[in-house]
Amino acid sequence: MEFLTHFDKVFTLYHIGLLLGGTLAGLVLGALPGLSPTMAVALMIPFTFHMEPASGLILLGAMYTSTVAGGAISAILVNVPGAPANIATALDGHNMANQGRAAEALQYCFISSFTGGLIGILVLIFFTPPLAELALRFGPSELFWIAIMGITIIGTIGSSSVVKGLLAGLFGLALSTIGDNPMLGEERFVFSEHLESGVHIVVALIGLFAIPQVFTLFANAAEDDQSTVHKLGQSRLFQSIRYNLSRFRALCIGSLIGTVVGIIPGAGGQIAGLVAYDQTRKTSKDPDKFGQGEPDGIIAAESANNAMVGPSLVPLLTLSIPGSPTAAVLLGGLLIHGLFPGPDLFSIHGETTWTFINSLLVAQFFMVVIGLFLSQHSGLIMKVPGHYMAAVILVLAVFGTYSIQSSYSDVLIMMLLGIFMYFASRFGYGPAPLVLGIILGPIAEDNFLQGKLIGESGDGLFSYFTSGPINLILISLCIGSIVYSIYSSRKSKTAD
Amino acid sequence: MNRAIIHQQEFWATLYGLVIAAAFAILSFWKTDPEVYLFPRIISALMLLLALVQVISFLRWSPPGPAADETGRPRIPWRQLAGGLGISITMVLLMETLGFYTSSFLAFLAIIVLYGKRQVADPRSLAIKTGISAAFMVLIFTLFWKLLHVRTPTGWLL
Repeated sequence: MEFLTHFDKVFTLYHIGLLLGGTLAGLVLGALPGLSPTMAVALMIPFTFHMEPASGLILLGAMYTSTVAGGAISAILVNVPGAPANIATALDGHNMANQGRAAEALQYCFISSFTGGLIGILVLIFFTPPLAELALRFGPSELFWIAIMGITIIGTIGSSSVVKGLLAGLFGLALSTIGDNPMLGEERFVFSEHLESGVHIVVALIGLFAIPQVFTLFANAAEDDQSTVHKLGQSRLFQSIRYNLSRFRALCIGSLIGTVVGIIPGAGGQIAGLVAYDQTRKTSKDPDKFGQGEPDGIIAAESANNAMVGPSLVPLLTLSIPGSPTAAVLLGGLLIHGLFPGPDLFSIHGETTWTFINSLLVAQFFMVVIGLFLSQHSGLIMKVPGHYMAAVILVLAVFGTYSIQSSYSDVLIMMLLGIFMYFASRFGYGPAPLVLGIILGPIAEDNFLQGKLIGESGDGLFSYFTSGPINLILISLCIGSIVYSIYSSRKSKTAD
Repeated sequence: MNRAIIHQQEFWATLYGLVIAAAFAILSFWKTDPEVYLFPRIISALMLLLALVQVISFLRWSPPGPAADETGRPRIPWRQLAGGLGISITMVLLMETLGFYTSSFLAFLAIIVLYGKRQVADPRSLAIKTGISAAFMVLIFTLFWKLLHVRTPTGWLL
């Protein structure tokens, strides 16, 4: 129960202010169609630079929690999910809006998000420390395989194509090698003065997540205002709370599936929401009502995608393997604030880590209160034109990038990466494995070179990296995730 | 999405992957120190291998199709994209010369005028948009420069 001793750090005026601001910004950004939670968190990282690590992480955590819930607003009102995690919410949520029950649907959404989110954070609190102890046994070879496993899992299970996902991950690793060799200190791939410092993690995060979204908003500008924003209809909050809590089965299915999916690295909220929706429909007495405005559909989907948030941080904080693309971005935030996943988080940085985790718990309360209030005015948020959002994101992205090291080179690299990623995403390459390659690249290379020295002075390189139970488990997981992804993609092609 | 469209997309995806893998392999192996470039060389070899797997799987696909999706839109909407892309690049290139806030103001205004529904020549609309851009700049200047004390390039102006 160590976490209870660190609650006082969350309840300072400054941190409460950050939680309020982060939750509000997350809900608004999540509600804006076309802006992903991952991009919102990536864009916010530079603004946490000048903050204490705990404060910066509180802001990022509040945004992560609330963007997922905020995405349901646009899913319900305009049938455009704010994030992939809200796809299942739109199935019944938008139909309820069509029936003039948008306010009711939004209330179910935030109440079930709160319930699922709370359960997910409790899993994070109780599962993370024992798992982190396991990381104490890791030497260079295990840490090398952990980094490779993170990239492999996000690149295979989290991507539409195994080869593209792995190629993107390897390209991220390649980009991470620009700059000095960690052992010999000699420069590599420095063809211009702009590349002397290599590719900074935050520069990559902003370039790969924010700029492609700006270009997508430009490209879709002609389609703006074509969707109708529904009127909210009658609002009966207490009735909704009572009804929501009485839908115990849907809440349990959603929260349980969200928790399990969250712990699996790379799976993400989209899968959680859709699987929970499907299971709730299958076990319902009236499965035919689903897809026609059934509240259980919203309750299951929203409790699942928010229950996923906490558990997605379990493998991240213990083994540096993110459970979702947004968690991958959060890993960048942790490293920038000097926090390396593993047992040190709970010993050396215990106060910061517990403050961060506790703030996620408190953020759930802020999310439900602000969310319920904001949903009454959500029609206004939906009316923000896409090109205005694009202009704001572009200016903030350039500012955020420059502010990291006051470097114009960073801005150029960010823009180049953004242009590259926009076109790459049109061809099916995702940014998440690429970012993870850049983040985990230095960890993989450092430990590979250290392991090489140890191996060469002992039984040999191959033996050092492939012997021992942990190494063998990690190698099996890498191979297993590739084989599983190939199998499931073949299966879906055969089904088509 | 029909097979012909997937084929078109896969062609470009395969080419994209192959070009990047080949370029990185050349940069890693050509006139470089094997000790310093050991890790990049291993990565580039794996990238080339995966790019070749992609080429082989592409060659087993169906005949080519049009470069558009099922709604008839091009896969890359150059016409809509070109203006915004140009403004973004120009903003970054002018940032050091004009200053961050001036180039951001011009880029912000250019984007909302270019992608707005009303005609550029409408003086009332132009005045409103200029006001919105200026207000946004004042807001971020106050927040970043005055409150957070983050210095951005000033150039000729601010």
